[in-house]
Amino acid sequence: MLTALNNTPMIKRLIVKDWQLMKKSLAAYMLGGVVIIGMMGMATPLMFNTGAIMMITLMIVIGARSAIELVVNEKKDQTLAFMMSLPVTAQDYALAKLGANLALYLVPWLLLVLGMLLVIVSTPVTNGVIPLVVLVSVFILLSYCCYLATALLSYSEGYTITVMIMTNLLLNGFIFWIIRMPAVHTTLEAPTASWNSTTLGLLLAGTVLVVGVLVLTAYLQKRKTSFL
Amino acid sequence: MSPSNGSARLFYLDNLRALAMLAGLFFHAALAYSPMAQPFWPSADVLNHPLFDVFAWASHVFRMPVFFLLAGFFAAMLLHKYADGAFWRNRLRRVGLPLLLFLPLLTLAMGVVIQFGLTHIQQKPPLLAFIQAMLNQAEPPAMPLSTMHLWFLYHLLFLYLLTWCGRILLNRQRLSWFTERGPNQLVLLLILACVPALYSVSVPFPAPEWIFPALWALWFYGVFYSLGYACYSIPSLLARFEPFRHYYLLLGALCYAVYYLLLPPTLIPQSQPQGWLKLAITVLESCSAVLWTLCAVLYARRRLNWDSRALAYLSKVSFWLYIVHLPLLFFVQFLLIDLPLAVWAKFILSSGATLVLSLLGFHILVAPTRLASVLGGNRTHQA
Repeated sequence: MLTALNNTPMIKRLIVKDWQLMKKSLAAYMLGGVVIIGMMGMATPLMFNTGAIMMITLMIVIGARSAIELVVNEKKDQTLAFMMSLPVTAQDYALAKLGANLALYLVPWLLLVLGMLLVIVSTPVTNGVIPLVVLVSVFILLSYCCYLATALLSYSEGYTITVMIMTNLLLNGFIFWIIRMPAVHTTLEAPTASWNSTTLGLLLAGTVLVVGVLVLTAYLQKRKTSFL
Repeated sequence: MSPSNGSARLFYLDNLRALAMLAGLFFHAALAYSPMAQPFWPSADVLNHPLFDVFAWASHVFRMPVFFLLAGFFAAMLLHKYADGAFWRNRLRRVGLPLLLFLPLLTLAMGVVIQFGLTHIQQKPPLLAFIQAMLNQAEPPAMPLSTMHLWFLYHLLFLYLLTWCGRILLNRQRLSWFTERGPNQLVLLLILACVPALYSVSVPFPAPEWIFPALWALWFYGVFYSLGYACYSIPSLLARFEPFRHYYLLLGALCYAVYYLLLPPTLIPQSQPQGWLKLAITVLESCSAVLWTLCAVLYARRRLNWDSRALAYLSKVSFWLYIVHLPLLFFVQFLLIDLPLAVWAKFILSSGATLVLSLLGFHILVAPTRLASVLGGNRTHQA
């Protein structure tokens, strides 16, 4: 992958190209994010819960759209064939895709998570929900990394959508699972965020898995000798 | 005034901003002597007079909308001059940086001033007495995070973000829809646009000080911000309201008079109007806000479009004045509460002393430092 960095200007161009293509969607996500954080900030149980569900939906939609639009559709629309005619190697292309997708997802993801945390600490919503919110957000990020990896390694719409469905189903299971954990459940209504060994362990595991999936994807991409 | 009409310097916008800032200082000073604001204003004096209410709430309905209108106008102008990146660098330096820098400092300063009030005042205002009761509890609750009066800067950053979204998502040709509407039709639309946002909050509309974007505030102030944006983008728009300015002024005054009469005698949550009465008050509030905001700009355009040294100076210090005036004002009003002075003397003394202290602060702390380039107004905007 390091050899790919020799072609930095081209990689930058590819990232900017993806940014331009997604600019409209990104603007819509930002608009949605502001509205949702505003809704959650009203701090009534109805608005906070509705906002939280909409926030999770938005995070999933952002990830799903960017992975499909920027990776899978490039092959379907024959854009990938055009890319092959450019002075870029498969590694350049892979690195650009990974960089563009991560930037396009991580920026709104981070803003939404920070906004949500800000709402929680500044409203009567109990701060005890912070570990739950952070863990669910990290799980959504991990899900995104999984289907981005699938899209980047296979360029297959079928496989990518399958992983998306699986991770989304697992999200429900994950939320039920951690809410039932005594370490999480008993501290949900606490006035302060209670990070204990269980929640910290889960956070660490989630972070390691996110990094692991990304490193593995980059490694497998490096081994690729052709675009297809 | 517009992208297309040369390079005339827009003195009236600087001058209007300076005067609106001064009105803000008097508004906050007047709240201490307002009967309606007694329950919630930290420096509420035992002496009060209804005339302070008349003045305070009249300025309240259009002063902040004027600031947002100006912000929208200048945002459009900056975006016309610079690319997105330069726009954001400029706005983060002039709006984001002061917010980041002064919010913690003001929070500390306000804590110190409130503590001073709790310790030294004999006739404690109801809010201070409430704070003292809370602090006397075995486990005092934490103070909620607040953007204080810097909520304007905070919400402005969100409006810039929404401007970026709007520029990408909306077709620019939709602006032409505005040009096809008559001025009074536009005024009616602006009033109707404000009603849902104002209906969702208490009367008079509060300051959205919580540390998250208040949707009603983004909506309500966004209407004026968009109007300002449209005023820059559509060269003839403001001029079309011009012939009706006297009517707007009178109609706005009439709406305000009825609105004021319908307001509850004291602004505690239990006395808030409900149902149709709330709707009527909200409609009148929207009318006054829109009509008087337009009037402020229209009259400034005719009467204030000249290079006044006094107003130029006021414009230069207005950002600093905006940032520091509130803790200083509270401090001065705390000093005055127990003194046997007439209510008008207290108002004049507290406003004057706050102004003098703020200006001294500007010349000692801002003018000789790099802060001057961030906070000092520069009269460079040309259309």
